Amino acid sequence: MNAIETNGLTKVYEGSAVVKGLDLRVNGEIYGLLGPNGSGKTTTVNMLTTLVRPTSGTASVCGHDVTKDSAGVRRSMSYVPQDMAVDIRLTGWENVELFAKLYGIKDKTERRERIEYVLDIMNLTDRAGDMTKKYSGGMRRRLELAQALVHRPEVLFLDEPTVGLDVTSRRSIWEYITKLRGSGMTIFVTTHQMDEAERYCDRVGILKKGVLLNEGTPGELTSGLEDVVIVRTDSGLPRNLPDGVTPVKLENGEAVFSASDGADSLDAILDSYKAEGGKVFSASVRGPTLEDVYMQAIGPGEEAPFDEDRFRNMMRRR
Amino acid sequence: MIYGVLAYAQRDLRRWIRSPMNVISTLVMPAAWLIFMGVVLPGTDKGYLDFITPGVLVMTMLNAGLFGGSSLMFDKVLGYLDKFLAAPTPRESILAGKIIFITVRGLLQALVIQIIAILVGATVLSLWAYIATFAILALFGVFVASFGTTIACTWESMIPMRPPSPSCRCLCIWHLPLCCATNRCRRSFST
Repeated sequence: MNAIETNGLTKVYEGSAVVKGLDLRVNGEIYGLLGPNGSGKTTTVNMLTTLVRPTSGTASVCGHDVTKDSAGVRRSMSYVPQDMAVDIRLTGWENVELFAKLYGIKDKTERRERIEYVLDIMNLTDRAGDMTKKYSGGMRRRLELAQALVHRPEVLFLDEPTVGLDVTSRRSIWEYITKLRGSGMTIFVTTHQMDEAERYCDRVGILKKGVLLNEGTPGELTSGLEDVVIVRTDSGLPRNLPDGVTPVKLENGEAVFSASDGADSLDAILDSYKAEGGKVFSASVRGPTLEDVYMQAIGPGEEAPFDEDRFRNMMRRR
Repeated sequence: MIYGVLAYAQRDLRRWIRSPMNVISTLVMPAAWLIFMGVVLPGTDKGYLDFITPGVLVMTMLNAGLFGGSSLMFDKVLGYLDKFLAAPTPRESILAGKIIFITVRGLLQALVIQIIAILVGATVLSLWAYIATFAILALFGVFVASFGTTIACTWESMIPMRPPSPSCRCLCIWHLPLCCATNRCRRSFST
């Protein structure tokens, strides 16, 4: 049995399909769902966490169907939404205690032990008695993770867990998430951060307009792409390029090429510039990244509409 | 379910108590109205305070209940509600917790008003009369809070003057007409 399983999962809003026939199998891993704004990531998470009812298709979490046994789903999972929602008028301890109660931990001793444990693993014990309005963004996110972990869920849903955090906080959040995976938990993450997904996710899926375009380990997805050669120059693309080298783009004095063997092709490209009298300031070769896979799959695309209410709420929380 | 209801109600009470401005405004404002309408306005006659106090108590519960729905809207807008809805506690307990919180807060307001009314000269009744009064107010508060939270469930936002957000306008628009409809105002303005 997979921890998360969907078959033809579809959500239609006002005649427009936001998620179209999604088939997923996720178990005992960190699964990253990538995609631009408005691609259906959050709707997918909302359906899996029973916040939104699917229009068609089936989905189950830990064997519980999201429509027929939503209570079972909610007992076996935790959800940390994109909006950082910790209660700023409660202390860190009270925030976690509230969720311990909501998750039905009635025994006072057990509840206290679990709260102490999750605050400890999230490194918040020292600040547990402080009002959370004094917490930094990273601490608030860690507190949300503590809230989510207090009932020991089998599956953890994280909707853009590192959005709005500084580099150090991002790294520490991912370290905690990786530790959780090590304890056997299934973690389903949506994110825009390609470097984070490449580094920390066991598998990723790329969603565009509600359709899953690519799925696999970051290694599998990047293995199909060629190396990238980047040349800073004042003379555009050379007229005669070596065999096996394809120009990708020329932008702000930076020429980008793809080549099956970047190291060999670099010399040949530089020779082409030299032969045509072009001036090269710097040149580099790198392997393909998940971002390259993502950009190739998604393309330039169009921007999602600006959500003014969401923006106001974000500002209000600061 | 009752465990979740109490958890939600306790959370809201804690939030309310820890916001001094909220506490002051919800407790002091009705009392200020009582003193203004019953004592300060010209033309006060004996017994008018006794006449107006029950009305202020009822209006306080009415406002507390209807505006209490905004607490649910804040939870929705600020993202708390999604986390509550994803918890295994029955979802009805979110509403029930809010109704308890709103009613308790309204009763505290009413208690403050009753004490101030006595201090400024209202007739002191028997203990049973007060118990009966507050029992009726509690029932009325539960009814109005249920209505307020039900309305709040259907509204998307409480930002005023935006198309899907009629909440503040709807709740605020009746204050002035109601205030002016009292015969106390008519008598004061005519003297």
